[in-house]
Amino acid sequence: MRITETMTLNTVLQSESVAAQRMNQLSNEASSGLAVSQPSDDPAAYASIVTRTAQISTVEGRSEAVKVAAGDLNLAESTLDQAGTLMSEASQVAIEASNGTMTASDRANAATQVNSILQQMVGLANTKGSSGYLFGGTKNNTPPFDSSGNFSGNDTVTQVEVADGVLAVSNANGATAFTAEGGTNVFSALQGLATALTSNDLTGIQSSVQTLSSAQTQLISARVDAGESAARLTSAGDAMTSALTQMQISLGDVQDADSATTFSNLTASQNAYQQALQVNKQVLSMALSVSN
Amino acid sequence: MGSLFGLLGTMGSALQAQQAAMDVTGNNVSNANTPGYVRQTAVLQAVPATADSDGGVTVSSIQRAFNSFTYGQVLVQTGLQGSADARNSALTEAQATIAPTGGGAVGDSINSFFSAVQTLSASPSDPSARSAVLQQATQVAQAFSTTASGLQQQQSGILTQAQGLATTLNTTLSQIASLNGQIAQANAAGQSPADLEDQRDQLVTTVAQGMGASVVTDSTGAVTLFSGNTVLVSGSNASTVSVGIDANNAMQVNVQRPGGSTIDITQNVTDGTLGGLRESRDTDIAQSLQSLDQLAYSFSNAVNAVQSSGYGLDGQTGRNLFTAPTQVQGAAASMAVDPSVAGQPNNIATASDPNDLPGGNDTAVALAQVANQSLGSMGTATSAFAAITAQIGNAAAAASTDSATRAETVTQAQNLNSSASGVSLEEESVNLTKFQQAFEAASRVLQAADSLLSDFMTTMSTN
Repeated sequence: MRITETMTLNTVLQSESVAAQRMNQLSNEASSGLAVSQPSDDPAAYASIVTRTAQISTVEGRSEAVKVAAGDLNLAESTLDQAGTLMSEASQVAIEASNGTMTASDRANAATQVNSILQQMVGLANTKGSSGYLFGGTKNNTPPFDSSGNFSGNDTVTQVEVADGVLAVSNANGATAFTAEGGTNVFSALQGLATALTSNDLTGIQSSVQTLSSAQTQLISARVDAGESAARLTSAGDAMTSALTQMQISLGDVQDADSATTFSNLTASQNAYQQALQVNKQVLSMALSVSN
Repeated sequence: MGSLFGLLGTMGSALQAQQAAMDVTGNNVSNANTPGYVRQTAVLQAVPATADSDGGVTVSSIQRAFNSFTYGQVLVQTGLQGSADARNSALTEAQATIAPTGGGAVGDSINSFFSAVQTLSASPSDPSARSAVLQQATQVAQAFSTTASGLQQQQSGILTQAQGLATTLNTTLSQIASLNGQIAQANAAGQSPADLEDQRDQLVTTVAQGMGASVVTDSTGAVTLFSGNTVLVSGSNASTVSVGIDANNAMQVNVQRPGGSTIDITQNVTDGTLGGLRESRDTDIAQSLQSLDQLAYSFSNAVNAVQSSGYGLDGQTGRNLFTAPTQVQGAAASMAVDPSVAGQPNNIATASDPNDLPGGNDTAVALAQVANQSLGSMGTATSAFAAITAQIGNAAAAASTDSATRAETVTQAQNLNSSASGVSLEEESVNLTKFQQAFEAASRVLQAADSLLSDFMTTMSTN
C-alpha cells in the first residue's frame, strides 16, 4: 500500500482525538465523582437514578411529615399526662372534702382550688402544637375549649402516610379525652365538684369522687392512645431513616464512579494521549526532514 | 540518419520533457496538503525517429491518479459522518435541556413538589407549608414549560440551520454545474481539466457532507450528482434544494428542477448534516416533546382530580392546581399554576370535607399519593420522566458512538483514497531526483554536441 503523509497524519490525528476524548470523559468522571452524570453516559442507569432519587425524596418527605406529627403526638401525650395528674389532684380534693369533718369554709377554699384546676385543665386542653391546637380535631386553628370547657372542635382523625398506601394516625383525639364522647366530660366533672363544694353539698361531693375517677381513667387511656400513635410514627420514622441509608447506598452504587478504577483509567488514558502526541511529533519531524 | 543538428533537437525535447515532469512534481509537492488534490503524473513517451527527427521524448499527457472507487467510498462515509455528527451535537444539546447536570429537571421539581405536599399533610393549616407547596407547584410548571420550550427552540434552531445549509448547498451545486461545463469544454479542446476536476470533486465532497452524494462521470468528463434518490446536478444544470416545514411542523426538503418542477425528497434525506438534523429534530426531539406533553397532561389531570375534590381554607372547592390542559399537544409548554390558586396558598385544597377545615389533611395525603399513582400506561410521574431521559439518553449515546465510528471510517476511506490519489513527498523527491538527473544528463549531451559543433565550425572557418 502506498503511504502518503496525509494518511500518516490523519491516522495520528484520529488516534490523538480518540485518546483526548477518552481522557476528557475520564477526567469528568474523576472530578465529579459520578460515573453517570448525563443520560447518554448510561441510559438505563440514569433512568434508575431518576426513579431511585424520587423514592428517596418520597421517603424523605414522609419522614419530615412523620417527624412533625410524632412531635405533636408526643406533646399531646405529655399534656394528657399532666391533665391526668391535675385530675388526680382534683380527686384528692374531692376525697378530702367528702370527709364529714370538713367545714363549709374549708370546702369553699377547696372549691377555689378546684376552679383553678379547671382553668389549668382548660389551658392544657387548649395546648398548641406545631400545626395548631392539639385537641381540636381538625378545627385546630381556634382554641377548642372555652373557659368553661365547652368544646368547639371535632373528633376527626387525621392520618399521614408512613409507607406506600399505609396511613398512621397523626393527631390526638381531644373529644374522647376531654368531652362526654369519651364517657365523661372532664370539665363538667370538675365544675360539678366545684359547685358541690361551694354549696357544701356532701352528697354531690361524694358522687363527684366517682365521676372524677372515671374522668381520670379516661385521660390516662387517651394518654396511652396518643403515646401509642406517637410510638408508631417514631418507629415508622426510624424505619424510614434506615431505609434511606440503604437507598442512598444503592443510589451511590449506580451513580458514583469507583474512584480507584477511574483514577487508574485516567492515568492510562493520559499515557495513551501522551504517546499519541509523541508519535505525532515524530511523524511531523519526519515529514519535515523529507522536504529539507 | 543521425546528425549533430538532429541530436540538438532530441536533447531539446529531453530538456523540455524532464522540465515538464519536474513542473508536475513541483505542482504535486505544492499541493501535498491541498484538500481534494489528486496527484498528477507526466506521461513521457518516446518520439519515434522519422526522416525529420532523430526521435527524443515528449510529454504525451498529464495523468490524474484518480480512483473512482476510493473516491466513492469517501463520499459515502462523509455522508454518514455528516449525519452522525449533526445528530450527535443536536442530541447532546437536547439531552442537556431535558436532564441538565446542574439539576432543575422536571423530575427533581416533581420530587420537591411531593415532598412539600408531604410536609403540608402533617401541617395542613401552616401558611409556610402551603406557600412551599404553591412555590413547588410553580416550579414544576416552570420546569415543564422551560424544558418543552427549550426543545421547541432547539427544533426551530435546527430548522434555521438546515435552511442555511440548503442555501450553501445550492451555491455549491451551481458551482459544480458550472465546473462540469468548463471540464467538458477543456476536454473537447484537448486541454487538461485536472485542476478543475479536483476543484469539482472537492465541492462534491462538501455536498456529501451536507446531504449525502454519489456521482457518475459521463463521457465528457462531467458528473451527474445524486442525492436523496434524485439528480441534483446533471451536466451544467443544477437543481435547487429548499427546506421548510409541513403541516405537522416536520421538516420538509424539496428539490426544484431547472425546468421548474418541484419534488419532495424529505423521506430520502437520511445522509449528511441535513439528514442528521432532520432525524434529530423530527424523530428524537419530537418524541421527547411528545412524551413530555403526555406526562404534563396526565400529571396535571391527576393532581387536579385530587385538588378539585378537596376544600381550600376558605371553604371553597372545585379548584384546579394546574391550569387544566385542553389537549396533550403543547401541554408541557403551556403548563402553569391555575389562576384560582396562583398567589393564594390558602386556596390549596387539603381536606375533603369543609367541616374538617383547617386541620383536615386527607386531600393533602391523597395529593402526596399521586406520586405513586400510575398515570395511564406511563407508570408513575417519575418513572415516566425516567423513561423520557432514557429515550433521549439512548439516542444521544447511540449518536455519539455512531459519530466516533464514522470519524474512524471516514479516516479509513480518506486514507485509502489518499493511498491511491494522494501526494507522497518521498515519492515526489525520488521523482524530482530522477528528472533532475535526466535533465542534467541531457544538458551534458547537449554540451557535448555543442562543443563538437563549435569544433567543426572553427575547423571550417579556419580552412
